[in-house]
Amino acid sequence: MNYFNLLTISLLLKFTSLTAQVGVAEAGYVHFGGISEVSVQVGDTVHLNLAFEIQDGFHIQSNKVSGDFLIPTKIALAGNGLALEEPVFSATHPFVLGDSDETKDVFTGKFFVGVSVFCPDNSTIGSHAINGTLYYQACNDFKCFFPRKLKFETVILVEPDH
Amino acid sequence: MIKSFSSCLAVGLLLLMVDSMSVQAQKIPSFSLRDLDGNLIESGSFKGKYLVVHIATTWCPFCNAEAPHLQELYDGYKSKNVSVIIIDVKESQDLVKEKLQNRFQFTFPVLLDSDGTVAAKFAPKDVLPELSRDEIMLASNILIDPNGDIQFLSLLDSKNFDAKLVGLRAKLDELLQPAHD
Repeated sequence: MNYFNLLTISLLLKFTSLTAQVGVAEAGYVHFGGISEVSVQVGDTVHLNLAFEIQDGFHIQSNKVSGDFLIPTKIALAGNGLALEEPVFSATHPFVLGDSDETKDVFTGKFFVGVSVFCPDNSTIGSHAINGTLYYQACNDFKCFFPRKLKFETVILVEPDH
Repeated sequence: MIKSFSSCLAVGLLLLMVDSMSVQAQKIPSFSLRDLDGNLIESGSFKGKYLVVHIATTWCPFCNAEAPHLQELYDGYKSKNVSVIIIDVKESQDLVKEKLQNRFQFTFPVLLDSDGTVAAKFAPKDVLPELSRDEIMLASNILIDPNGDIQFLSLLDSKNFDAKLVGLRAKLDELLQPAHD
């Protein structure tokens, strides 16, 4: 590899690094952390803890907002044959809006959504996908952003009743 | 974490620069938007007046926190040739009426920027280029003088949020002072 190629490669790497530091446009500010492999026997219930991570410096509105004008975080789940109970969100944190008298509840860092999944007796054995969409509205230390959605999927392994 | 801190620091410095830099050379962009009664409001109709523009959405928590102070500002300054408008971005007339106008009972115009084009026109060119231009303007305040020159532009700074419009009022008071020869 000659000097010119090395120079070209190093410049490309530098540009990529700089681009990452400046902040290339992202699709969203929340990422799905996934869950460990989960299995459930036919006729049984398993509890999932769906993990989400909010980008450092950002927060999203609580699932239970104090004012009806705020956009709450919501989650939609499809069990694809498995029965899902009402999801439960983890605790929020208070956030004071500058010099105003208002405080709002937000999620920051990592948060979890717990959902119980019941496997009906007539479930087929094997992998079942749980499809989800998280709807959220984020702000960071400088800006508030239009609402966004995060699509995710996790898999549950259905095993026979022993 | 260091990369995130550096990014935040860079953004903060850029925003401070926007806040403090002279923007006298920048003129109010021309626009023509409908208010909540369907009337067409043109930017030219504010010529000869001081104009405060707040760019908002119904769901923006900072816009909602600032809203009563905006009405207070209008009440206190309307007799001094000062107009106030809100430009709402990318929302329906019914939603804005229900969530903003009915809630705060503004006595100044609320205009509908249905595709964000007008909000984007106000955006400083080189600040946060990775964000869409209309998004960067959410919860910002702009002060335009009777000649159409932008005298004050503050983008949302969540950590130093000025809900009571202290900075804007100070600039307005400065501009309204009679000139001394």
